[in-house]
Amino acid sequence: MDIDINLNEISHDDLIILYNKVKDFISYLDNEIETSEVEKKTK
Amino acid sequence: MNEDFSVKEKINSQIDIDKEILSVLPKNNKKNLQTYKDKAAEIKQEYNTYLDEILSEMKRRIVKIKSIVPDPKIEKLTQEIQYMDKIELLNQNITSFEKMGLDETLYVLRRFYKNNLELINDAIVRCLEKFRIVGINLTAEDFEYSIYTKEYMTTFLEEMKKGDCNSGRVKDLFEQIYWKCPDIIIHIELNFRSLYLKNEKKIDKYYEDAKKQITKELGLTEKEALQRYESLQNQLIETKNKDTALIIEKFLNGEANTKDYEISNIKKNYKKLLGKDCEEFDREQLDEININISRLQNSLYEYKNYLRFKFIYDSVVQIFNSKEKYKATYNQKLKQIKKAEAGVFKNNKKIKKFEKHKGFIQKIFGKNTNRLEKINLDANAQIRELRNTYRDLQESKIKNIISSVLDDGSTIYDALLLICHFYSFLVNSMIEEFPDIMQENLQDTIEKFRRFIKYPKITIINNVKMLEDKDLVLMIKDKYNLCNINITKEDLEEDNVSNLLTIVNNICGYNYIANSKTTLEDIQFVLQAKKILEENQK
Repeated sequence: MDIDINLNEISHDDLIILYNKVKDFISYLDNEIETSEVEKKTK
Repeated sequence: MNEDFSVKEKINSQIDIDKEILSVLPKNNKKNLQTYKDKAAEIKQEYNTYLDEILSEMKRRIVKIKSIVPDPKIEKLTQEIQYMDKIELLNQNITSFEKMGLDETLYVLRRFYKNNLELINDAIVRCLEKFRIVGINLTAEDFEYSIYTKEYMTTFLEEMKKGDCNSGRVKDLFEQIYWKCPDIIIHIELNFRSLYLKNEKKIDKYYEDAKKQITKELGLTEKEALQRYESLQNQLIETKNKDTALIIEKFLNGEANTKDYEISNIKKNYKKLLGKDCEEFDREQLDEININISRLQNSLYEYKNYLRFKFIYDSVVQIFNSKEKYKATYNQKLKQIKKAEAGVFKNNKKIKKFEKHKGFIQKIFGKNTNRLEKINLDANAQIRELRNTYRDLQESKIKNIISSVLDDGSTIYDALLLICHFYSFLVNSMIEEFPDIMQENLQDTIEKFRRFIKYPKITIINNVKMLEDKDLVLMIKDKYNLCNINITKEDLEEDNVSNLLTIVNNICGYNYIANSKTTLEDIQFVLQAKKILEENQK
């Protein structure tokens, strides 16, 4: 992951937006990990 | 492209790249699914690390925003005001009884049925302390009102000396006495009242000396001291209103809500008051308008509280209008008390004598102690009667003071300022107005009333004489209409004042934030980020 965002410089709103996006994507990944585990068992 | 979009765009694009990496991985068998899972876990790890960096940045910003400390001037002013609180003792219109604060403490004893024994005992300790401060060290010998006061206070003082006036010994004794004399607390209360009257001259002298000492210490005359006190209070209010740390704190403790200060809401509030959009005014005009809105805030606070406590003012007016009726009563009641107390003390002597020769009397008259019981019953009945006379004395004292201090030139404020020192009067007025009021609400309401009276920005009721029939609503409305602020009579109706005050408070609050070292965005961020950090700690 190579993201060009300087956390010190972005606005408060952007920092919150960034947090929500990252948090949502982590949830998405959790879901992917869980689903692949379930699928693995059925194969 | 603005910065908002840029950050969103960058993170979205990075997420898309990572999603793409995952999407090209095959998931057709166990091995590939494991590879997919491992890659997803690897990406998740990277995002978790990034999330930690974001949370750290949030923490750093919160610390920075909250690092502003309250202006040290606040502490300095508070201390100066506390130091000057003693100028209350310069008040000529109240007696040493109120200056000692005895009415308030004795009230705990008076309403003993609403309190528990520990509260009663604590109140007794406070009464003893109040006497000690004015140079009167009370001993068991001073509690001769009845055989029961003597017995209880002897043990009480012994246990108090040991450091526990609520000890088992005190409680056991109270239990024992109570069944013989359920009026024991009334006896103690009246004993204190009697001790005050007995020592009144000495106590008055203490306050006379204190008055000289205070004016000497302050280096100010009474008038100058009051002016200085008012000025300090004004400075404290202004400094607190403007203080960045306190502004932030109000939002953090939930006292204020950021939504109320959002520009769209503030514009609506201005439009309600001005009848126009605030953009229609230039900076200079808006500054002038804001000064007047700030004045309106004080006027509304004053008017709202005046309405809230009008029942107290009405009680004073009632007495003031019939002042002739009360003039001689105080001295009559005082004489009555002295006479009745002489009877009580005489009875006590008889009881003591009887107790001393109990053995001899029983030998002659057998076990018949009816005479002692009769004397005891008489003494209790006399004390019960005295309780009423003491109530009447207190009432006539206040009525006397109202009728002698207030005159045709007195203002509404003069009347309220005078009466705010008389605790029992305030309590009686409140119970009359709100018969079901709870003890804690009673105390709270009295404190709010006193805070209102001490508010240094009062400008209306201190300019309206008691005898004048002025329409305060019209006065306020006209004054602010002249400043181009459109408030109506309906806005100032009792049920609507709070709404208007909220609008005005929000505008003033907004301006304080605008002139502070913080911003609404900073405050909103702290609130949001704190919540996020808390969620991530779970």
